[in-house]
Amino acid sequence: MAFKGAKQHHWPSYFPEPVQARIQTSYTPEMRALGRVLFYDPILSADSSVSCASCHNPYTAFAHTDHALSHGIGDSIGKRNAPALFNLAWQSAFMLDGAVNHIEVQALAPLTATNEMAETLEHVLTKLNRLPRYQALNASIQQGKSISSSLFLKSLAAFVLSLNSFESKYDSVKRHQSTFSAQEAKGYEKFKQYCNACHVEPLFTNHTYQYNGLSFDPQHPDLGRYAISLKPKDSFAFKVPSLRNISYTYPYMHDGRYKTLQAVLKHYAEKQVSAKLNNNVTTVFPLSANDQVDIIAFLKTLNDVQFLFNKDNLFPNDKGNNP
Amino acid sequence: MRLLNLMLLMAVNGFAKPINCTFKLSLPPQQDSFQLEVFKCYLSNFRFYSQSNELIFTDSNAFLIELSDSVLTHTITIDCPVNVTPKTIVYSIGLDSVSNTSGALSGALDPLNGMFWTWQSGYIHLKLEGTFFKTGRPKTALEFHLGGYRWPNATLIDKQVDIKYESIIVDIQLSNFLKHLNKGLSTKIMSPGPLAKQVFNTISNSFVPMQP
Repeated sequence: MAFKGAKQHHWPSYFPEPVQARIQTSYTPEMRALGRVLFYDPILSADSSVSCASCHNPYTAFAHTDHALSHGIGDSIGKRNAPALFNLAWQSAFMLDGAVNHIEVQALAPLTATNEMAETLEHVLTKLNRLPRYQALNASIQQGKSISSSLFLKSLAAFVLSLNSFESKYDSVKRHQSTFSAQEAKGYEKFKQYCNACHVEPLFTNHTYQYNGLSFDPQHPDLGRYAISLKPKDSFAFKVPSLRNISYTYPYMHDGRYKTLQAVLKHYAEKQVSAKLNNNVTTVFPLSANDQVDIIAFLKTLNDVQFLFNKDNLFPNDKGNNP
Repeated sequence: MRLLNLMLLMAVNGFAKPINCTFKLSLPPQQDSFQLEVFKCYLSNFRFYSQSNELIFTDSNAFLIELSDSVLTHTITIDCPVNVTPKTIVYSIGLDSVSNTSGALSGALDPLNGMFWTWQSGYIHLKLEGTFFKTGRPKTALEFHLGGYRWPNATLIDKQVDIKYESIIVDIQLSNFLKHLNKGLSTKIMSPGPLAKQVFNTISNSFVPMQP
């Protein structure tokens, strides 16, 4: 079976080839180790209080569970719900509006945002290059040079691109190692009928930007993809998120307005909402209460506990290895 | 190959060291004026032509030019075939989409140069900052961070200039841009879009080649 790709960057046979495959193979294990240390180090923020992991917790699929909006230094509140991080190698654009066009420059956004890490790239590099642990990590990669912006950004990319999640029950069913329960199977049928136009298997996203009928919140005005594309059709459209690990990544939606999956399903089942959905969805979702429960049962088969507790992704020692 | 060190002299309205220079916008008794404080731009995609207008060679590197109040000339170092003497250069003001979408780069394209947007990916192709003084009004800070690589708002313009004595001279004649200010149009543009493209084109079309 069952897996494609080199040992270091393999993926299930039923997955498409990662769009980032070429970039991934240009990174070394030493760069990933550096990126892993950086990811968990609050030194990246102006007052050393916030790390990438503050809003992307490994135990919740690298999402900011229970927080509607991301948090920054000095208790500042960000603009959007921090997305979960996994299977990024299949994405070609990043952030909920696709504002970032390459994984290597994604970190610049939270690093410099005044309501997130509020740092400068230059100052972060100065701080890193004078610390012995980073000097040692750098020495494992190159000699005679300090950590450059390029190495810093590529190393972070090497780490986050390695966060792969495909060990859920759904995956074991796809590999004929398990079967759905009767309720999960019913939910799967409803899912295929109503949800997978956007949440396309096996990644459970089609990587497009869609308006999903959410009402405008004047407290959090956010034009979504329109601010990037300047196309009216993209007004209030946000990236279709993957539904993998969905139980761990609450609250839901770009502004975290729904705390439960039940609330999300209820949103989609309302006629006035589904009538607003564009492009792929042209009919209302006649989802009964039982249908909604069944779909949630299926969605829970997308949870990947192995991914949550994968030691290779957790807080490392100073050398970027498992403690 | 040999290294061709092109000397670039880039002036603004005839001022070879234009930073912190003040440019008048109106005639007395009005005292409207504009002080230029930052001018940085990318020049890229150099194409070299012979006396007979044949393309001899190209250089795909990008060069970041920052005007100053002290430095007169900038050196652009190009790998040039031996025994070749180019007469004319066609170059681009701005960067192509590949440069804007290739991840973490170094040299002139290092994000440390302060020309890379962070909240969305892409380079500022031309940065102009200064202060606008209009009679009877508080002074206004000007910030034009002009870029964009997506159609139809890409900011990229080709210019042509002759080489003499391995040097090129360009005068940026800002009269049209200053008219833009005098009309009371936007004083801050910080993201790609139609307006950014319009102002970028206005400034880029002001690049006038001069004879050494």
